[in-house]
Amino acid sequence: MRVTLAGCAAIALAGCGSNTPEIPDELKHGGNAYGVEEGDTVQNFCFVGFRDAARASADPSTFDTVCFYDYHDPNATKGYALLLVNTAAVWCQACKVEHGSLPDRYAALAPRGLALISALFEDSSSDPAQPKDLDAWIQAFGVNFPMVLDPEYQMGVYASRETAPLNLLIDARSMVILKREVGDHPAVLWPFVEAKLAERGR
Amino acid sequence: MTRSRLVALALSSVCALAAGSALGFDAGKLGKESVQVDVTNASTVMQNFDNRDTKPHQVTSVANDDWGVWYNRFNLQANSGVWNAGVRVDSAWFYTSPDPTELALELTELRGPLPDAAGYFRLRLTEAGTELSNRYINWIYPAKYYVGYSSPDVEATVGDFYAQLGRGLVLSVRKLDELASDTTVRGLRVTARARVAGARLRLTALGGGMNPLRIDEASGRYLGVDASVTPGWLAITEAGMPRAVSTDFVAETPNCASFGTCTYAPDRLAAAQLELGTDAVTLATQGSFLIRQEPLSADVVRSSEQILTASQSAELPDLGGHGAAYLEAAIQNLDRLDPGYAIYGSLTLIELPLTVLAEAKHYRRFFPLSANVKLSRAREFNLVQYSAPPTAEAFWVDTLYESFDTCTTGGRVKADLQLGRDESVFVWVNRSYSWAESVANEDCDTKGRNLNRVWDVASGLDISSQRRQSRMSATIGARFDQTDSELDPAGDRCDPGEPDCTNVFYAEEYLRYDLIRWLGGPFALQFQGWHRRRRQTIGGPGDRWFEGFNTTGFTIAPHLSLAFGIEYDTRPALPSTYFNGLFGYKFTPDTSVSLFVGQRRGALRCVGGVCRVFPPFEGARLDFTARF
Repeated sequence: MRVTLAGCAAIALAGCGSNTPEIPDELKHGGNAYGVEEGDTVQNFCFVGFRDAARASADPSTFDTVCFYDYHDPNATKGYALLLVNTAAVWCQACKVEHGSLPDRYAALAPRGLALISALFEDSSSDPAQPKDLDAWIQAFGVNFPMVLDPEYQMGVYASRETAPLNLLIDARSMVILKREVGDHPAVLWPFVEAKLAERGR
Repeated sequence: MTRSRLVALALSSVCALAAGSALGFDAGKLGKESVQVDVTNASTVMQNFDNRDTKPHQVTSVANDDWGVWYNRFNLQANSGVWNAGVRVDSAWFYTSPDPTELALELTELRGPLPDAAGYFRLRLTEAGTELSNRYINWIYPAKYYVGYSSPDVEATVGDFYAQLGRGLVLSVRKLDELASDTTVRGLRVTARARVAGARLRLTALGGGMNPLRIDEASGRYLGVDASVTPGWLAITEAGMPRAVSTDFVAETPNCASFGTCTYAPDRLAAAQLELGTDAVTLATQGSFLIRQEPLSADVVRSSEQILTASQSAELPDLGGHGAAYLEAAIQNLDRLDPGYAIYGSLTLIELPLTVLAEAKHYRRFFPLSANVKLSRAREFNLVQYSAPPTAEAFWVDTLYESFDTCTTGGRVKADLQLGRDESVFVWVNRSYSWAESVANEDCDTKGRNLNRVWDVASGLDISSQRRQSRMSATIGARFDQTDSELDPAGDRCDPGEPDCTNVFYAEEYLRYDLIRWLGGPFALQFQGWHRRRRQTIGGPGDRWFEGFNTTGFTIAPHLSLAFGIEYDTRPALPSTYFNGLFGYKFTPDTSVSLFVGQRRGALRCVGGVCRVFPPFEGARLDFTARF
């Protein structure tokens, strides 16, 4: 059963890579394609999961494909000012602590233009996260933002799994990485997010 | 790369040869004083094989297999009268190391026949290349150096020195061999002593750049700096130290924060202590002022541009022959938080045959002074810090989770009862509250929802016999850590009426022992062990698990020692057993060789509240140390 679910998730994940838009040349920072450091343009990773966490289930057939560039808002037409990409794992204590308050933070800042995607990448045994893990996580923490599976840990190019959670704050207008933070440090992250929203008139 | 390898090889060879011949000698005269030169060399050759932690998609789990290093520490010290000087040169030569392409291929094969293998390979290649860009790089650098002057009234050091003010709340930089950590201040220290109206007066002032060890031999990772973080006099203190390097995977940028292999922005520190003492009491005032550069990690401590920590302490070294007492109160000012404070006290009462030690702590928003390290690229250096607030726990406790001690109140009472000349028993009880263990609570909000209550109890005995050539110490203990608000099985706080909720955050029962049995003549048998039954609701495997080790040793004094170790861990995600053997031979009290072969489980190891995660090890390690 586990293998089947992993297969379904992987096939869906692979499928999402074939129909996603490429980054326009003008967004390529410094003439290079993408990068992983602050100031670089983020690559368009896609995942499967739930754009609307209220629809969560363990059935992979109900999954959506969610990509970073779904939140790209170059002309300020979608209402996004910032995109926060977060990672979590079932074995990760700091991730659980962080998700205890993440829904409240999102509820407060989403009206000001914050988009948030959280990617669950491993289960309690450090094996690739499965659809049932995603469903259980969403139910346990009352997730109210898009949450996806990252069983192959694509986010590993930004930070190693051991340092989870990773928080990647991205300018939704340029898709440039504004901040890359490992660990759960709310006293630093959230004032920074609020300051960046304020800079954008939000 | 080839050139640096040759340099490293040449230096290591010279050092090893130096170690192999007696190099302690009288080097002549400096004025009227003779110059004594001592040479020490410690060499380690470590070969890592597959450590059995490989998991699908995890670059780090394959990047720590199949590498080998020759790590050499060459020490030269000279003394002449009131003057002394020394230099330690470290070199690391990685004679074999993983290749990013091979790692990416291995993970692609492990993934199986799924679509977009090429895209997956490219992703893993990028990740592996970045991971290895500051790992397994050959370096030779001046790890420590100093020139010192010492007289009864004045001591001065230019270069590297260790320092501790008070009990470590304000400043504590030192060597922690168990954690492969060795941090110094590289700068200037002056201590002056005087007697004023029968009282001892001591003034210490120090300042400089902080200098942690740059190569972590357990992981092969190094800390690199670049020109953007070595302005002014830091260019001098950082001269010759490992630099950030550009690779095919990491491009050089003018800013350390965005340069992937630039992982350390040297911190600057100034500190001082004024101590006034009599036979009855010692009063001390101490303070440290830490100045940061651009933060490379985003926690409240590393992102503070300046941190001022100051304390006042009072020590009663002798309570009429019946003990001693110590009290220290500190304040700390971080950029983003209200000022924090810490109060620590200890009291020792001796009324033989009973000795009682009581320790208490009360910390609010009080943080260790963590080094400005880029954790996203050099996580192994997370433990580098310049202060070490006392934990009021046994030194080996490794279950102060998250930021336990930054917002805590607690204490421990330990009683030792001497039953006879060679027998004693002890018991301790620890009661602690923390508001920063099961939640992220940098502001130290002490509301009940954040609270963890901890009981830590233990009892044990120390017995010696056969003129103290045989001895045994054993401790049996337990730790119960409960949250005030219940947790659900996923680790979140429970909603009212939710099933399967628990207050247990962590629970443990354990046995520790160290038994040496003299067998007559030069022969002795030794058993050491630590066996633990653990349960961790958040971050654990769900059920209770067992882990521990036993080492059986045999010694032929003074030269030979042999040991065989067994380790185990019943967590389902990990290998269950580990076996290892150790051979040691002492040629002289200062010259020895040891060979470790086998497996060692990964673990969190702590010394006095400073902790680091060691990965599992499987391979061989040869250490050769010679002192003259």
